[in-house]
Amino acid sequence: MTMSPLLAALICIAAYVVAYRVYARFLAERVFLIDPARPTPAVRLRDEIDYVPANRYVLFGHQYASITGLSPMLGPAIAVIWGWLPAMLWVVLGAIFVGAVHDFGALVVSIRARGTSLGKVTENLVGPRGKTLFHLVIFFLIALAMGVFVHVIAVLFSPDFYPQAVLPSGALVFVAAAMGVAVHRSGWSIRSLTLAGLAVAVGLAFLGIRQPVVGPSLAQWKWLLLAYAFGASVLPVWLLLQPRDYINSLLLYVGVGAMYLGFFATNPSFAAPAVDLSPEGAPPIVPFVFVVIACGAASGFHALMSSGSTAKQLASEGDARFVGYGAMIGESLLGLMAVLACTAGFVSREAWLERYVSWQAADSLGNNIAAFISGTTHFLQTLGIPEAIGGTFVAVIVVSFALTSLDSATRLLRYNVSEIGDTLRVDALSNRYVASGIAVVAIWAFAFIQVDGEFAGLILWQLFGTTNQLLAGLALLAVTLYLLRRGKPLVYTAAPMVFMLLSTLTVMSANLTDFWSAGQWLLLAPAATIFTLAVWLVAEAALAVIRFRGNPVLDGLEVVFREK
Amino acid sequence: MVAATIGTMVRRVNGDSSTNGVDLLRRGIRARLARVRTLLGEFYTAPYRGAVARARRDEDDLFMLFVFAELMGVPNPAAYYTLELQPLLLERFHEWHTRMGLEHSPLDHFRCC
Repeated sequence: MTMSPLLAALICIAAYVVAYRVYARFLAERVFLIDPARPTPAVRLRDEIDYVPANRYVLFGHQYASITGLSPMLGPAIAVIWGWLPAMLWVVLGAIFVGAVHDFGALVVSIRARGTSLGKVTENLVGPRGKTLFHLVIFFLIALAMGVFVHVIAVLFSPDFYPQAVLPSGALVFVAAAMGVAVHRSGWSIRSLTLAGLAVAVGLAFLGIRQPVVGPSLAQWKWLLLAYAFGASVLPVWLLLQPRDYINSLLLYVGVGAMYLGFFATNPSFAAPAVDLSPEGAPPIVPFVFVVIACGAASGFHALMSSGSTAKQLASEGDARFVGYGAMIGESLLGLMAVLACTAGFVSREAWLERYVSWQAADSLGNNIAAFISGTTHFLQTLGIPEAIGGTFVAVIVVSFALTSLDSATRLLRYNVSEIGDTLRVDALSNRYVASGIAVVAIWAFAFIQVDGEFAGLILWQLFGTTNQLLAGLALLAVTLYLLRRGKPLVYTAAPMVFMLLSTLTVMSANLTDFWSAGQWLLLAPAATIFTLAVWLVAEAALAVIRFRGNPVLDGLEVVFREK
Repeated sequence: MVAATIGTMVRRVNGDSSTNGVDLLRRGIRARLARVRTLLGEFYTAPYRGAVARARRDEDDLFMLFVFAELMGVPNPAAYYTLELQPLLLERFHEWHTRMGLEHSPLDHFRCC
């Protein structure tokens, strides 16, 4: 029997709905003891700066847009080399049982800890070593991810892929900055700017098709992108980050909506096999599929968002399920779209095989993301959008996601460097230019790593995946310890934690052996560091459990901070 | 049909007894649009409210330093101009010096706490 992609998608969507209605409600009521009447930090500590209660839909929109970037498209686009079924299963089940639980849990623990970041919570629950571990993991995570993103954007800009996306993507940066000035300095209304912004974005896509930018080499693009990252990190947020994020979120909603519409209108059939356990040159499917698809199924990076501004603005505990669990389901929908586009968005098995003939063929990551773009363009064509325009538009969206991640993540990395400087008592690191400089150098190191004369795309992606799962493990550890102290059921957070750590450890040990035998010392160093951090985390988890086991169960749900 | 349905909805919300369907529809749409506008505005500002407010506060803090620099023995070429601002900014003085890490007023001549 052959399964139609349409039916598969409907089953997945039904699973999401049931999970949100049944499993998430169970978690809210029985595990996290959500009580809409209990005041949240936004209400109790309201200061009109950080702590401000926000509308649940606004908060959902923000949480969704900030956790959704390039990764949920890229991960599945790589993983479908093993066939559509494993990727789809992990995207859906991973999101339901791991990713969304993780995001929801991190949000709940954060609102019970005065809306502080997960780093602070970890310090409180695990000890000062926990905080250091947390900072180091985040440092590697962001630097690696951004190294990959710089690489992917540079590849997409190259003449072989989407040079027509260069002009619109670059111009969008300036449009955003103009919008920032108009709103912040001249007090223009958001509504007119929204319409203008979207109109300009579409107009620019047309301009891009007429004027593809060909010229800079891959390395030159990377340098330009690094310079952009540095600039975005030191400029005021209202000038660039805020309007960019906003335009980007709108593009995200329009884009995802149009892709699903197109998909349902097309009613395609799968060009990819359901399962291919040993594609040429690929590592074993288990556990690599769990690492290759990080975002879209489970991602530790989300804990930073959940426990960041979201936790400080949640107006009611009752909104936590919608914002925490719901937004992750939303991201997973994009992951699912990526699986569908990369397996059913092709006209024939031959066309599919052209992209996915072997693991190495996809090594630049460019092929993977191009598969996603051409797949979704195929769906959009059914809606009457010509291929050239659709392709450029999707490519602009993809680049725009990557660029927004790049500018906000570089800033996060800068804050992280400053915090590490704080721990080490190095004052110079609190300077924004110094910290941004270090952040960009770290990204540069990963963006320019070469293996056998080629930029290492896919290998870095795996390193990123493992670090992301490691951070998810760390966040789940904090949530589990929180529940342990309060005598609540542990299995719903502990089981995903163990799963995340096991997949990280097995993938990293496999990678370490590979790098060692191939003599790739440049890759061995970060891999060894990540492996060490993972082992460290396991040890901390064991120590914390031993330490807490004898302690009496706490009554209050609030995390009590030790006085310094 | 649609106008009537929306009209009923709006009437329910507003407790309005008017029966003019078109009028109600227009009012209903306007209310919806106003809501969308507010939400969009909130969607734009909410994520960065803290960062922008903090940046503004940093700027204000620097300005406070300019105004009160001379009093603390830091030569300030603009002292002549900033002097008349001192009484205006005195209200914020306590908050400022505590935020700068000084528990008590650094000034000998007038103590604020």
